[in-house]
Amino acid sequence: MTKALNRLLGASAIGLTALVATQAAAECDWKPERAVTYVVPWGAGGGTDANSRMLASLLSQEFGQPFNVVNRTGGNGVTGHSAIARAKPDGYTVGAVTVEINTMHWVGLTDLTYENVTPIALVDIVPAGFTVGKDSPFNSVQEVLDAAKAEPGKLTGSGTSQGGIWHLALAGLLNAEGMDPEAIRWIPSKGAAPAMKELMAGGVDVVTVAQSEAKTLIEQGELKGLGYMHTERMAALPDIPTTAEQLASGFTLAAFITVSGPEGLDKEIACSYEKAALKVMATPEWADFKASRGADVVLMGTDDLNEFVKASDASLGETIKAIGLAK
Amino acid sequence: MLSDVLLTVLAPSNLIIIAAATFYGCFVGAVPGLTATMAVALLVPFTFFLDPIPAISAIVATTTTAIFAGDISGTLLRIPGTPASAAYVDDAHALSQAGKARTSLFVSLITAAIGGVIGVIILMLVAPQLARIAISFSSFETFWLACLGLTCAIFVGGGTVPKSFASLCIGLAIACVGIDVAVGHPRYTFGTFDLLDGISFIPAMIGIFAFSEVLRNVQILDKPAETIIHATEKVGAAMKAALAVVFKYPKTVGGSSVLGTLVGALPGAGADIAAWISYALTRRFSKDPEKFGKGSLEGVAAGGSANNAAIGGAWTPALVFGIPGDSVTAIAIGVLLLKGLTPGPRIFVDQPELTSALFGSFLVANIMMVPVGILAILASTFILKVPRAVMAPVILLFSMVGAFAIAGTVTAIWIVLALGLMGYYMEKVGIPLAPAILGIVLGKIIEDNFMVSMIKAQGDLSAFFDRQYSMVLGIITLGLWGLLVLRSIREISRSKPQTEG
Amino acid sequence: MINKDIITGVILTGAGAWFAWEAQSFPTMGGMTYGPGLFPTIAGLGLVLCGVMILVTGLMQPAVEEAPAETGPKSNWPLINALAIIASVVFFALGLDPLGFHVVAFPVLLVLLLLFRIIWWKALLLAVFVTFLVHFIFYSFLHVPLPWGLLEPIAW
Repeated sequence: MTKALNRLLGASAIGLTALVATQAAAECDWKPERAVTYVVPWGAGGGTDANSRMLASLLSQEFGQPFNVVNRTGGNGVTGHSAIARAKPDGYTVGAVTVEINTMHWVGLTDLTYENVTPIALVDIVPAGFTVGKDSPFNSVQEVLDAAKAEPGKLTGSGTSQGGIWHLALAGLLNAEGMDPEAIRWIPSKGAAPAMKELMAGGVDVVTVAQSEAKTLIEQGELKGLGYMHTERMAALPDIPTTAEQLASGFTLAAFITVSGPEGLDKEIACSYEKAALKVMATPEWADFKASRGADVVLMGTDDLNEFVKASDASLGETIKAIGLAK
Repeated sequence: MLSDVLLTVLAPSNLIIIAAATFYGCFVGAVPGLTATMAVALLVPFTFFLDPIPAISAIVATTTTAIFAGDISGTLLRIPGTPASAAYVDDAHALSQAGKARTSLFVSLITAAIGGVIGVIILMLVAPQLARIAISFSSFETFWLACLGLTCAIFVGGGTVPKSFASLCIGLAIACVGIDVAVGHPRYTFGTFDLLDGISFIPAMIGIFAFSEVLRNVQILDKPAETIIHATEKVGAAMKAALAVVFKYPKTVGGSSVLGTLVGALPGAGADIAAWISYALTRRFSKDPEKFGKGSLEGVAAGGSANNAAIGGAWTPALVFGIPGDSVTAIAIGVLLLKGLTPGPRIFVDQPELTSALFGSFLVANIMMVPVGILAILASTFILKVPRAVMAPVILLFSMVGAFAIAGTVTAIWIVLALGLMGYYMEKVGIPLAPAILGIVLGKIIEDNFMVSMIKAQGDLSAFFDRQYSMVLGIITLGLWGLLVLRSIREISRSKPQTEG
Repeated sequence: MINKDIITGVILTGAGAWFAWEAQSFPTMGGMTYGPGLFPTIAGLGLVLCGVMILVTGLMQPAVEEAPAETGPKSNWPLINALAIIASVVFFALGLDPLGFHVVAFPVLLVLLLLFRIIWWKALLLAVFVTFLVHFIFYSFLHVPLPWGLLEPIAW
């Protein structure tokens, strides 16, 4: 089944690439002449890192030059994103700009916005999950919400730092359901893995990290997935209902990973990268990689991505303001 | 079935991959500033083209040798090649200066192999049970565990209690730099982005150990040559001496290996913490604790075996729950997923050949590490024949580039300079360095887990004793602190004319 | 000569006090009396305490600790060498990004080697060799992006 799906995805992808290729055939043939630095604002071993390393190795085959992945972690993403935005726009520095580019400036961490980078192509869409421990008395998102309504502040949730994307997922969901965003108290954590560990150890009640991160533990029965904050169910976990089906508000939230260049990246270089990225993301290697993580291949070129990032910035801004985290 | 596994693990192609990975790990581990994590991260694109078993073999072999090879630059240049070598770098370097570099390195190598083998045997036997306990640790237990580790700081320090404690506080203060976990407030960053995530550990270590050593060395350049030891021991003699050490301290090596495995199995605690705890405990129960920090082969043996044993331990939660014990296994899990293998309790049932192959590769890698390690030791000890006037500038360049490599920013070089000057001064006035290093490592873990626990419990301190494991760990920690206070009161009351030594 | 414990004690006390004082300006967590300032305060006060203890023991000791070994004809070289090392690091850190790795590494090595009285042709060879060795190990083999700076046009 997965194979057939892959083939299907592959086929549609090839169509798309062909389209892009003909449109841009006139130029877009810039090529790096030496090693390119690929900045990842998050740590080795995480989802952004894995996606970026895979893409970097495929790009390096495509361009015939090494793509060196550098993890510039820190400051809840500020360090790495600044490194991408402020690099020389000569095509020798690109990086993984993630959804945090649209949250950091709202919560006052930095002045950096999506206008300070040059988005090239979408790499991954990462919808949030709604996951509880295996011994949890709750069996649906609504049950958790009812319990939180009855005793605000008793339940706890975790997944990222204060004001991080998964915090926005939970607080935004509560807010959309007309509840106090703090009805489930947020326990900051250093990332998805420690948060899930806390959940398994009984330290918190709910975790709203990416469903793909929790996938393995859900499959093993160590955790219980109650909801997927997306409009369509996850192919790898088809039994978990979406929040769009379950909740009155139909709240959804997805993080994203892009490959982007610094501010003011030359059009010619940007479109060469776009062409190459869309090409390698249509290969079976990329499809296999995505399938192994339980994710679908997403293909989105520069123009659509710009719109997408802009829309995401506005909606995340609203959420952040609504839950009182804006500065 | 077992023979199938043996065939896969011992297949020539797999052996070649393990051998290549061993050389690679040895090289990366010995280069200052490059960690085992970095070595594995660089390996990932290559493993993509390999079958699952060779891919895992390559990762395992690289990590194992990289952790050992960290001792090479630690011993010869006083630059711990990986954080896991920091616990006993003073001992190893002191031995090297006394002309026993090869003995010390052979001890590292042999105990690393023994530790690695014991680690994987424990992994084979008790992985599921061990993981069960490890996984039930929440922030409360982690807090106590880190406190326990910090208590070791006082035991590892060589100076007087006020000076050890001062060193610890310096380490804790350094650990406070950067964004805090509770509200995200930037502390002591002076507006620098690069400091938001705190002072990175590797540049700090390079500064405190290597840079201060360079500073000391260039001041004695015109001392007569005979005070500088160029000689290296004969290989056979060094090997014999090293084996004698291992046979002299079988309990140290065995105990540290078991302890290292247990510590490694805890999520968040890796090879470096395993080495510190084993080193401190060995010192506590040693017949000659005064030698520790000044060239104790027993200390090298304890730390050397513990950090390699921890590698096996770290795979426990990774295999059983898919929760990484450290960043290396986090990457390894990604590779497994890429191959369509999902780590978890079912992996022992669904893919027994994979788990057996993993264990097999561990054993083979640990054995293969010995000849490769011997070659590396022989090649590298020639460094000792190079005069200081040449070595000092070269080490300086490697230190700066190594620090830059890990952090990718020039700020790392400033950290090397600042902490290097600090380390130089501390040694000059008799403040031990080890507690400061431990404070840097554990300070963040303690603070993060304390704050998270307090947010969970809404400020109720008694929550630290509510949970079963938490209570046990808490009582042990507080008990040790009580003993320490008694010890320091005794020391102060009778030591008026004492000078530091 | 003053006992060095006294100086150390004063430095530690001062640094600790500054660290703890600075921490008082940090915000607290909602609903609690402490927050990000708690641990820096503990570390700072710990330093003050240790500093005072070291200061007191230093004051109690007799101040005649003059080392007899240092009474001979004193050379300035140790100090000059140490300052050269520090200056090298400062130059390297300031120059790495704008000038590029090769342009800073080579002169740093050369100057230090010459200062440490290595014969000029040996120093020159060594400086070239080590610069390229580091380039090869870190840049080519381990894929660390060392900056090219001025040499960007001929980067490979």
